[in-house]
Amino acid sequence: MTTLRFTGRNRDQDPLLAQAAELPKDVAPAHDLWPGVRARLDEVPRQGRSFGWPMAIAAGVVAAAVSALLTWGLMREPAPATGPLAGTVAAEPDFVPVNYGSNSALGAEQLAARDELLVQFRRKLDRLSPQTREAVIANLAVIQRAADEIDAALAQDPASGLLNELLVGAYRQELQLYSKVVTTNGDTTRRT
Amino acid sequence: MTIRFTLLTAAVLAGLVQPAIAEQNLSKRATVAADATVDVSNVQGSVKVTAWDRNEVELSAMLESDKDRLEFEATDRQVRIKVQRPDGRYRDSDDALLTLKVPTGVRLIVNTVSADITVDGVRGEQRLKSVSGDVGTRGYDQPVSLHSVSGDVTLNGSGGKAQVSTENVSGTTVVNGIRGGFEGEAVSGNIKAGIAAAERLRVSSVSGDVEISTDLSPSARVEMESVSGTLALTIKPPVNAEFEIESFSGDIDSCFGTKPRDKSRYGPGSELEYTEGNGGARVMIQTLSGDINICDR
Repeated sequence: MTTLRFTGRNRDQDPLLAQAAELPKDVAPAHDLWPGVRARLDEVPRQGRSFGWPMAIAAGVVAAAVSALLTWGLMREPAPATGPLAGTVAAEPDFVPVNYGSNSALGAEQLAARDELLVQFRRKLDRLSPQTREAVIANLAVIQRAADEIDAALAQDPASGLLNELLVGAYRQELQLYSKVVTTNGDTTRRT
Repeated sequence: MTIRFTLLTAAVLAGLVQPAIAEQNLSKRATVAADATVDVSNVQGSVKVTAWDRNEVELSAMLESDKDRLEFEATDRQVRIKVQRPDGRYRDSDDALLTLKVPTGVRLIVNTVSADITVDGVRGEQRLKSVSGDVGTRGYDQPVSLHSVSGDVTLNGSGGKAQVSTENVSGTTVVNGIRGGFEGEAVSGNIKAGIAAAERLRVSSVSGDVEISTDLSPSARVEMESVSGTLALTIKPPVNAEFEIESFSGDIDSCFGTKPRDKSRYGPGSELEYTEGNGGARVMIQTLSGDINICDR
């Protein structure tokens, strides 16, 4: 086997260079990439703004909710000692808090604050009239469906400012629902 | 036979009279300042409040249970009314019906669980909250806050500048006849509002539909947000506003000249950013899968 070496002197005989010379001088991409690049560039400031402040809002919402509940807890009158009502059995409400999915940017810190609220909410939920309890649970299911929908969308576009804002909005609605029930005055049972 | 008949008749009559004995009809009255605070709390039944031109609070209470206790505490500045049930037991016939007359300018706070709240003519600040009862009032110039979990919320304005806020989980919210500001939130409930000369308008829902009709002041700021509910905004002309509208996967339908553009060539979603007229007001609307409709008619 003979190895041919091509130097500057015999470059015109180099078959590889000859083939390369036949290639087009510039190659156009399969499709125009610029609109996509520009869109990404346009999104950068918005993402930078939106991705951060929804989480700040979420933290603020949690802080406000917990603060309001603490205030309410201090200001309210002592609840009358009420046991299970005559002829009723305190059924364990079919309730689970909203799961925001693996793509959510809601951190453990925000969700841990929610847990404080949940302890009080569970106590009150058990005392709601059946119709109202049903309405509350049905609406938590609505929020869960919304959270699932947002999570699926975040899987496609994790940095979307819109989706993160909607995520925080859904979380705020969940906390407000708990708060409404917790801050209800008096015993909430309606009928026996 | 005659004695047995007499005893039987007496027993039947005693049975008939029993409910009348259990029921409590109470009246209370107090002289107060024109802008006093009236704070009412009731569990089930109703609370009806009407304003009058006297500096007095008058309460008529009909408590169907003889175990209920009515608390009525009054000073010049504050009246506190509360229906207490010490034994915590409830029956179908345990409604407490409270009817109040109050000075026009009072600050009114009402909290109920399963009791409807109806207010008419109160021009001071109102904070009305029920868990499963309906809440209805008229708004004037002072702030009005209406909350319900499963009841309907209704506010009929008088053209005043009341700042109105509503939170309703699953009931329907209807707000009409106010100027200036409105904030509404719902989970699955629908919101329908007509606001004149909107300055600040903020509405959000999770799955409920929202329908807003308004005309915009030059510095108005409108924010509407929903996950899956349809958002409809009708703006009375002339329209001078900057629009920033975005939906992740819902449709945007605008009857203005500029049409929405796709966010991505390959995925769902569209956005619409443009200035109508001279600009000035700002309108921001966003949904995930809910449709958006904006129009000037």
